[in-house]
Amino acid sequence: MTRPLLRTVLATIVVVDLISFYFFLGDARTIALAEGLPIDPFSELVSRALVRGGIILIGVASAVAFARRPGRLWEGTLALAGLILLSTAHAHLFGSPWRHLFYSGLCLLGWLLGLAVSRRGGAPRDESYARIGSIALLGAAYLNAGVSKLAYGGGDWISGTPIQAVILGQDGLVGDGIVSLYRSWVVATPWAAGLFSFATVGFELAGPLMLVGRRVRLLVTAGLLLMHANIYLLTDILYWESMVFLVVFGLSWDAPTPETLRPVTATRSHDRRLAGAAVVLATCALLAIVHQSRRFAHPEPASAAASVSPEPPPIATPMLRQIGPFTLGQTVGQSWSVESFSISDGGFVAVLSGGPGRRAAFEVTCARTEHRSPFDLGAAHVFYSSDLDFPELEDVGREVQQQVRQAAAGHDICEQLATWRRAAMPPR
Amino acid sequence: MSQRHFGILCVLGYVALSWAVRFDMRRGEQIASLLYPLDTFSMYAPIPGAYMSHLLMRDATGEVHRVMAFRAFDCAEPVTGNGAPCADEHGIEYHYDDLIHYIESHRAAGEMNADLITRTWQVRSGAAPVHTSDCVIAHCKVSP
Repeated sequence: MTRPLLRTVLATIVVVDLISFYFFLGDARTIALAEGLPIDPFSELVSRALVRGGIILIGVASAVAFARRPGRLWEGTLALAGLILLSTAHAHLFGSPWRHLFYSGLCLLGWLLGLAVSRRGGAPRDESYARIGSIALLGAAYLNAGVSKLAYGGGDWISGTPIQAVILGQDGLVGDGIVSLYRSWVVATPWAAGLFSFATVGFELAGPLMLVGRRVRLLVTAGLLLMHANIYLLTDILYWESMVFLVVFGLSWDAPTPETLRPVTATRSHDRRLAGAAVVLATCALLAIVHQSRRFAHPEPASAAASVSPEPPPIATPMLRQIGPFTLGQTVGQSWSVESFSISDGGFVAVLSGGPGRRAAFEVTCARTEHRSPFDLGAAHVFYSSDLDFPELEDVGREVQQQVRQAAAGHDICEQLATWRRAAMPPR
Repeated sequence: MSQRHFGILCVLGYVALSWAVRFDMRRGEQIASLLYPLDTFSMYAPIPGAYMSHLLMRDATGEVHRVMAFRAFDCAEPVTGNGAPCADEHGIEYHYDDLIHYIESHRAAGEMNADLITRTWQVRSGAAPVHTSDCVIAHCKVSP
């Protein structure tokens, strides 16, 4: 793949993404307005047809100009700025970023960083660093995907359970063709799902090895393309932008062009600076990953709900013996039992004991709150509060969640909760 | 600076910046990084709950079909909002929203009786999932 071709493909996908944001952002705005969701002033402004149309026009013109000649740093930066504005507004309105639209942005960012280095080295039209920048950020995106599976899912991710669950959630196992048969087979065959999980994490973690050399890059590229193809077969999720980037950058040659910037002769102090920068960045990355995985493992809802927006104290009630699916002394899970109840503002609190020094309070509530819990059931929250770490509570939390779900028997849980509270409250 | 050194610094910088700050958004916790195009690509990283659901149409013979296999829906009960049953069994939230939006934008008289259901499976490590329940959201008349 020659560099003009790489630049043209990159600019083309940037243009496609910019234009597609016109429709995605319009849809997200319409739905947010229809559902009465709060819209911040920035997203309200950017999502207006005229404003987003203007941003897209400027972005497309900039991307075309960027594609036409090598070394066009500012035109590329303008196109990237357009993607930043549109994606940010879309994520706010939709409630989540759309990651398949990130690949054009990150490859463009890597290209621009490379152009900046070349410019600084006195060769503004040299695109060898730009190509490496795009490959590096593409590899970094896959590395992040692999790391996040280990950070958030742990070793369990390799078990294949997440793949089985995603196929169920995306497909529903409707038997209507050969592809459905394949999906059903993978769901019903844990070792196959486990193998795909292992390969997925392995190839994702290997993403940065695309920098090592063409042979290794080809190998990693082939693995990642196979992974995407399999994901598409299993779930209908198609990341075509990243697949195109994998093909064009993964198959590209490392051969230098006549304009290739000659690396500055390395000096000892220069090497030390580079090594120092790499160590600092690697340390920051490691600390950030550890911090985010700890945040995930110890979600804040219960304590945050208590400290940020203190709930009114539970209503003092005579000894409650039963509420909803729970009765005093009832065994929950393998080693927990219900110790006491109280009525709270929007539901009830059950205090469970799991033996000496092991207590946890679970509040089932439909009170409106920004907080979330891993045990939530749609609009109904199941907050927890305990001195124990989350892994020690997870099983009993799931059991509480499941008992509430089963007791609602398919009815609206918040309506059921109101009924349970009325039944439990003493007559006035 | 060699190209490889530059590439390594790019990788490390991207990873550090994308993990440094993670924001909660409406559809999930720790779902967004500081700025596009930074992201940790964690969409399917957390281990899902023990139960997973999917929205389907179940005909009178008990056979299930994809929602998008039909072009017209006339449902007796509300399919969304606080009054809609099975509110806790949405499966993948955005997918559920898409299908509900599809049904609502294809409201028309139908010919065939079918139930709109959320089918739920229990997902267990090292074993095949078990179909645990079908929760009926609405009784509908549909047309392909």
